[in-house]
Amino acid sequence: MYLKKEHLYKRDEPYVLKPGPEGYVPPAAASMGIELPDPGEGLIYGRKTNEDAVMEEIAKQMLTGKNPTLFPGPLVLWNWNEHARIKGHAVLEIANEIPGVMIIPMPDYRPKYPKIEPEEEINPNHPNLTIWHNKIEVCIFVGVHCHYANLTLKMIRAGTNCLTVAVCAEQGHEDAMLTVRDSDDSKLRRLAQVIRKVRESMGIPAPTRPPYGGGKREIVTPGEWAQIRAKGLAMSMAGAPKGIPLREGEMPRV
Amino acid sequence: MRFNIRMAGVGGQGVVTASHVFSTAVINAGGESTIVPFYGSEKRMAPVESYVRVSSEQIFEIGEIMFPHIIMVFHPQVITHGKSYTMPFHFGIKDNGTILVNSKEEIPLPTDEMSILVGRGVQFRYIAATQMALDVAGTDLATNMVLVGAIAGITGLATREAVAQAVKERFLGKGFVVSGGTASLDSVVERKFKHKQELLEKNIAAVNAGWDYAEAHNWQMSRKKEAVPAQAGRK
Amino acid sequence: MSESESEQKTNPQGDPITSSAVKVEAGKDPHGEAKKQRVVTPEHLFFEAPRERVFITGSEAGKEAIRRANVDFSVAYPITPQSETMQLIGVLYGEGYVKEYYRGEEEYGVMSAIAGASRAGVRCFTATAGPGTLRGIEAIASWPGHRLPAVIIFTCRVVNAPLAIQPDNIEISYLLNTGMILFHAENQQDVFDFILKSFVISEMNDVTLPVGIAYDGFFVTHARGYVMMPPKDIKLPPREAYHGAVPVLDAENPPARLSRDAPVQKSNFMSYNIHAVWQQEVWAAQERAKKYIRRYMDGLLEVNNPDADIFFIASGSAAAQSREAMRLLEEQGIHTGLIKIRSLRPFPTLELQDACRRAKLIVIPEFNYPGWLAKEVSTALYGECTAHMIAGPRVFGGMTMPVELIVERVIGGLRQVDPTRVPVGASVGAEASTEAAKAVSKEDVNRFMQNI
Repeated sequence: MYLKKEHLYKRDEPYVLKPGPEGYVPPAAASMGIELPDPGEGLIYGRKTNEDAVMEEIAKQMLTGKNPTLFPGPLVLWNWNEHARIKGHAVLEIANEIPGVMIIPMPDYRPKYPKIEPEEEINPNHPNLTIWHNKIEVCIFVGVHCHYANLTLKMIRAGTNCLTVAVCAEQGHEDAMLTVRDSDDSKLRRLAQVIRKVRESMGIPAPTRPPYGGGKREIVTPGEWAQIRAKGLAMSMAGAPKGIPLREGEMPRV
Repeated sequence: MRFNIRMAGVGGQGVVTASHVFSTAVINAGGESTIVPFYGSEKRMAPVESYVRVSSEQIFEIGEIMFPHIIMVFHPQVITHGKSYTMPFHFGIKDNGTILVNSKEEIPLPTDEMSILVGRGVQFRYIAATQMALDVAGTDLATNMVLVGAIAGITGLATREAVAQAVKERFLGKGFVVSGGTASLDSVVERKFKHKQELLEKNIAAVNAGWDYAEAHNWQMSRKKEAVPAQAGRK
Repeated sequence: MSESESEQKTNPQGDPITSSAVKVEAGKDPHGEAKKQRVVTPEHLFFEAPRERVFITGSEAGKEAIRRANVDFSVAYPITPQSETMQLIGVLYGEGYVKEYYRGEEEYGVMSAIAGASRAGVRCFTATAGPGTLRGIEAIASWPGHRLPAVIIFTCRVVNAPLAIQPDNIEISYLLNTGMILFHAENQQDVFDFILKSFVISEMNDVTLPVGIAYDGFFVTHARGYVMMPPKDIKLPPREAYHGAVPVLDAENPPARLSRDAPVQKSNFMSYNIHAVWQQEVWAAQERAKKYIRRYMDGLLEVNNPDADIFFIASGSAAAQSREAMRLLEEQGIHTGLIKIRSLRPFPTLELQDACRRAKLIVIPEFNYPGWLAKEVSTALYGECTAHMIAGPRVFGGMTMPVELIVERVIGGLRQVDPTRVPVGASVGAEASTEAAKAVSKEDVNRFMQNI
């Protein structure tokens, strides 16, 4: 582990990635010497750690942190392929193990005109607003393209006290406090099971209500929730519920 | 053993061809060689230089040769008309270097220049290559081949078989042609010689004439590593 | 001379051009050979496949790399100074090894077309040189921020007026801070290997950046060298755009419709931090690329004679010249080492610090006036190394760099004198006119010209 002198950190002190707010322009974790995990590993606060231990830490944080939130991105919201649809379903299994969890989508990466609705939708151009509005202190990003996830994670660490988790389908994210890599649908399901196990060991009862949408509004009825769970979250524009005209580029609400 | 050679001549003489043939010959003989030709628009009598590195070891160096062990002057105008890219023509010659000049007679140099060169152990070797080409091959177009023979004799890094092979490759094999201009020149050459075989034989004879001349005059350079006197700060 | 020989075209150096368009036999599929290529893993292509030695120019080495690179799209804008490379890619297109190819209107158009094609998800390649680099640099500098994988070669041939066409790698200094990954190839073998490996590194999900490969024009592009290369019937796997760090571009549909949506620029729709984190992310991706550079390219730098306490630090042609200087100095009993910088971006700061920990003298030869490498090295070693550092010798404007000049810098460094004060005129009898020139001893002059 090393540090670069231009950031005025001591060379022999490894950089630890903690929840922020870290400051005006905190460095990217990668330029502080934090490397992405190898297969089978994850990162806990910047340190390479066995994946199971990372999953347990994710579970603990999501079960005990304030306003835990899932931020699903386009790769699990959009029906790119069959695997995306299955993964969307697996994300819901994770949500189903966390009492009081919110699901706030990041359906696309476009700057929002003419009005930002940060409570209901997170956007990589101003993700901190969503965190602030909803007082989110722990969150999981899943299905967000790596570049946009990294922008978002950096911005959240700079300006909020939120603990970030990145469940990544590729190589993981140094800028998240907790991350696992190569997350296909089976790994997402494994995470759901780890969360259930930890939840039970902590004596926390299973959720009795469906997840909230952003802004604390109830976005689905329990009946709809059951139906959505049966079908999976991922849907294409073509698969959007009929009779609801979508604005151009708008994500169908779940 | 390593020689960096600057071949200077004028357009039409086959300077680049000579460098290719000699370079190929050294490689054929098991050595290493690289060449860097350098010229402007192709025209007769304009300066042409080709830089040849020949060695018994691997060569990494690239680019033109500024400090040669050997300078070959293919045409007296290189000296008399300053037809070289680095003037004067002997610029950069190393101590105890050789300057091989194609000329029947010695070309006078300014006295102070000459005395410095002589003081530094530089050897001038004159060879009437054009006359020898006419005598042996019946055409002055074989001048470059005489000089290839002479440089082969001076450096000792090729064999007669290797040079003959290189000449054959140049004229027959691998489809090698130096340039469009030279290609048309080659067809003139070809008409002059009735048969390709004859062309090869004449060229190889020209090479051997140059080589014999160099040997007869004991021109071979030996570059023994001389002990360098210890200097302050040296390790 | 046979007739077929006289038809052969040659390059400006007089070398035969092996690129002339393929003659297609009637009834034979011109793309037949290309269609027979099979996809192999990068590891097989780079490390396992048998290799054969060929003697080719740098431009031809580029062509042979692209033949095996499974390139989808390439745009050419050939103008002097350039290299033959893009013309040779045209031949590959004719043979079916490159799927799409055309001649751009000029470099700005070329680099913009590469941006569009890369964003659309295909594997892209182009080449430029000299002033063309600067003409295209606005578009080039936008690639990293858009996270566009692509490979471009820069055959360095001076950008200043008056124009020279021989090597001078000043253009690298303009490319160092665009955010693109930048390698500097020493010879024809490097050209071949770096190009192929660059595609793989460029397209790694956690990298997703363009890679530039600089090499010195003329001395490498137009000169021949030995290249060990695998057979031509194997190629890299195709680009997998679905696994990119950014979604591929669909002009009509989210999640990213570049041209139809609001731009990311300072406004109330943007966080104040957005541009800052965006740039940080580009440079973070550079850091991540180091892992792959170590895996595929055997490190960001190469250390020869790590036990030496005199080091050359060089890249590109200057590294080749330094190897020869090492040999000459060894003959004189002076033991030196060479640190060849392969990757200029990301720069191997830590590796360099480790390699130079014990160094006493560092000599940095360069083919450009401002000495960008010396500045990079100084920044990296500041406070980490106590060696006496000589930021030279330098040649520029297309001059060659005599090995003797490098040797003299080392000896000068050991003797604490500046050997470049030896007036070259002294070697040909010119009278010294200035006090400074008169102060140079005959011994110095002789030594400068000595038979090394």
